[in-house]
Amino acid sequence: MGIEIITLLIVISLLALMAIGLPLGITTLTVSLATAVLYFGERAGFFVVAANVGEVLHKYELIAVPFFVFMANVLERSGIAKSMFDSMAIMGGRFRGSVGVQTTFVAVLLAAMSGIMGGEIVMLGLIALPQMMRLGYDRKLAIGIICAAGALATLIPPSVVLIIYGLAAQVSITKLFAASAVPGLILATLYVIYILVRVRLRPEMAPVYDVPETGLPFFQRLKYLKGIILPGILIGAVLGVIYSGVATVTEAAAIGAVGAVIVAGVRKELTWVMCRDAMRQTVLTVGSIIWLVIGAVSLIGIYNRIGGGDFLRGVLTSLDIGPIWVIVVMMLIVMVLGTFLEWIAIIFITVPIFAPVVVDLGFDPVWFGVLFAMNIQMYYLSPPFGPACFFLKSVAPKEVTLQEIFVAVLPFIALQAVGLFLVLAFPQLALWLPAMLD
Amino acid sequence: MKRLFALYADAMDNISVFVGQACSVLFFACIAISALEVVLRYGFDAPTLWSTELAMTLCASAWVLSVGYVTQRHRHISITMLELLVGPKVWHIFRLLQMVIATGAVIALSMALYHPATKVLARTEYSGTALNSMAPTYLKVLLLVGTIFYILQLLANIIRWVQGTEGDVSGGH
Repeated sequence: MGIEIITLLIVISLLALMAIGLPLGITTLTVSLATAVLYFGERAGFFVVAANVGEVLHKYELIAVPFFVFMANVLERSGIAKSMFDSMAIMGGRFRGSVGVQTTFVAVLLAAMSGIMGGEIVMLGLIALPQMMRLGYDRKLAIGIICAAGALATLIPPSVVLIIYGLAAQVSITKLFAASAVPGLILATLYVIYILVRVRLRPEMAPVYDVPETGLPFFQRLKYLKGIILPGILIGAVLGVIYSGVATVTEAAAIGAVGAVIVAGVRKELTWVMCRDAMRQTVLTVGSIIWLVIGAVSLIGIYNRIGGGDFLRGVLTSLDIGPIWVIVVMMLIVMVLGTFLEWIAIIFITVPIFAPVVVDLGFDPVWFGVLFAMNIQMYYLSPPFGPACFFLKSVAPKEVTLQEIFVAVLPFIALQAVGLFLVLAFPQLALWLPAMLD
Repeated sequence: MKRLFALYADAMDNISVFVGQACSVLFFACIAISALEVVLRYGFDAPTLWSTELAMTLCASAWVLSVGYVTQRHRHISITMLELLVGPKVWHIFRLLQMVIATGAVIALSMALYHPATKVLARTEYSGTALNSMAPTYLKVLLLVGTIFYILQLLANIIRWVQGTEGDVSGGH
């Protein structure tokens, strides 16, 4: 049987098993086991699967993921987001759309603290959405801001998406973190510009938020900055040790997790129950993630061994199009996969195939990693599965429907596409910072 | 017999929850060790030989052994879009199918992991690092134990499906 037929059978099997609701990790594991046994026979097939699966637990960088998840869980329970939001509200002053802009700033800070998207959207959904709705903000605008700004965590360092990409592509995670910072800020800037333009054109979309403190002179308002001092120190500590090369990403994540506990302690919110719940939630989150990784690593390992990787690389490099268009094709493949696969599985399945092609075409895999993360960010918002929309739905008032959320995020998906295009067309937007740090 | 199966499901649920929640402490220990390494390296110029391997081993233990807890709480990530199309009754049947396929796949995985695990038990493998720990031996056995744990919890979930005593099943199987 040719590799083309095997590839087709693998894809059909994956789709069929996923459709009946089999967990994604078990889906890829089942297909990899079946492929290995059918191709190599039981003994050799099992040997290959065991070798692939065993490798997963030896990936040191992977343990940064539970650390960041724990950090996010502690911060989520510590009320730090509320303090940041309140500080920003006063510091931001009086202008139309200020709460929307503040939400974007808080989202950037939260993203730089944890790298986990889900918790961030839940936090913003609980704090910023009721505030904007109470003030009479256009509901779709408010929803779109929260989903899009919350999804920045996939791109702004220390993004867990980039950690997983770095592992799969075997490129420096530190460089990826440096490369993604500017594109992340560009996207945040695009969102802010969009908000300001929209509310300028249609003032009724965002009434001016007026609290007495905003009327104080700027220097008197500085004392309200205290709400962002601790988060600022935490961000500085985590990103500082990563960028300076003082510690590995995993150690930086550990420092961040300890820092989050200290922050909660300083704020007098640290309790045993809070720590216990954060740890239990961490176990449940990463306990499901590891099976996704095991399944995906097993499948791609088998597929590469039977020549699938070479086959797909051959198909990509033989396309009669320019190198940049090959990158675009890869991005489109990721987008299509994003409609039915979890991002971790997408990364482990596609990146080992794509990354060598990217290098062969003369591109930097770090730059490709940033594009990849931006693409994953679009998938986070896109129907039918856009996880960001589901996260917001879980904490939004009942009258907010899922359809409304999906419509609300459309302009922001367009802005993400603009950002993706900018980084695609001007790789230096991503690559100048890693080059400078070198 | 029905009562015996129910007792098994209850016992397995309790064990999974207990082990899973105990595993959460391992993550905390892992965080503390990794942060301590940075402090020892830069604060006291005394880097350790053991922190990386110990952190990895603790983390791997928590990851693998929490599988029962994750399965008991139906927290595996899956796509449930078809539920809207086929309706709750058909989806209920699909749920059994999911669990049966998953059990078969994890049994096959445990068979694949059995040989490497028994091999390292007969002849210990070492990491070959400066610490030269037994981590490779431990991790191979750990993976096998994890798959057995997964199978046992899946069987408990199947019993609950058959007896109609499932709790919230909005997540994975």
